[in-house]
Amino acid sequence: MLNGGINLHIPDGFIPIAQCLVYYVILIVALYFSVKWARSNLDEKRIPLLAVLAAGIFAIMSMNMPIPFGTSGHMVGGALVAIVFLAPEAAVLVFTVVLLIQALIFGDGGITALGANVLNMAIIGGFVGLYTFKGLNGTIGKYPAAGIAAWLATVIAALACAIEMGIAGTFPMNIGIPSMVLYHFFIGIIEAVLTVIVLAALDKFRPDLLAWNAGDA
Amino acid sequence: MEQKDIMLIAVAVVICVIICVLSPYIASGDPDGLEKSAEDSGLAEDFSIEEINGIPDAIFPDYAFADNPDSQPLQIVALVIGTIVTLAVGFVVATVVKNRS
Repeated sequence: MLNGGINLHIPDGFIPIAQCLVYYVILIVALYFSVKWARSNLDEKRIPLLAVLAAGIFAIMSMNMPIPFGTSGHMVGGALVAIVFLAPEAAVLVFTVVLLIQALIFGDGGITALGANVLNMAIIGGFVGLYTFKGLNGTIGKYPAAGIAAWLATVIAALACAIEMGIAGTFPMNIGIPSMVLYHFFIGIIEAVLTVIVLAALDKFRPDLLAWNAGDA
Repeated sequence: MEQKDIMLIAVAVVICVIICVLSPYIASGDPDGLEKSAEDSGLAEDFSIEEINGIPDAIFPDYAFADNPDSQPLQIVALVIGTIVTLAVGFVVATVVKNRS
């Protein structure tokens, strides 16, 4: 992102190489399932949708918004992609593309940390987002459910990042966990608002693109 | 591709370009969540637990031109290039994974 630095994007050097490899193995397994998912679920209109979401997430990640405590944050979008397609596999594909481009061309997030970054933002963010949404959708309605899902996905992804930093020895969990969770408590509110806006806009102008309108929700 | 899908891409590109144009001017320069957490725990900003060799330099480090990192118009150019590249790569990857049998 501009001016700031790393956010949930773990840079090179924060995680020892041996641990990076473990996260890469998780990434490869996730990509295997995602490619399988894509073969049977992507079609003529969902290919452009996936590309558009990737581009939108790339752009919105540059927009750092101030939150309390002299820090800042931006939308991530893992929950959004998972809810649009009702599939965390879609988030894995989108974030692998976005994070690879950010790491290779813009030096944002490490190439060695790619596995960990996809794990946090897409796998954890996508699963937490989608299943929170599915769990709440029936009782509180789709938009409140999507908002809470996006908020929780951000906080849990931050928690995971703090735990990974602790395991890596980069910063201790007793400080990292409360800090990351506190800051992402507020960043999650930005995430929730933007997730709901994008879902509402798609539902209004292109309801055919939302998997929840296909009766899968 | 149907006309409404071309429309979707066009609208998305317009929204992304607006974000890219505004970002260098309105994005907060405050440290972000991970950075601030690293500071909270006493980690220096340029801390690196290990030097990793062989990683190529970014073409646009920190979303700017390397030889003129503070130029906001050039930051916009870098962001727009990134958005278009992401759109194109996303499209190609989605098409390839769909069609690979």
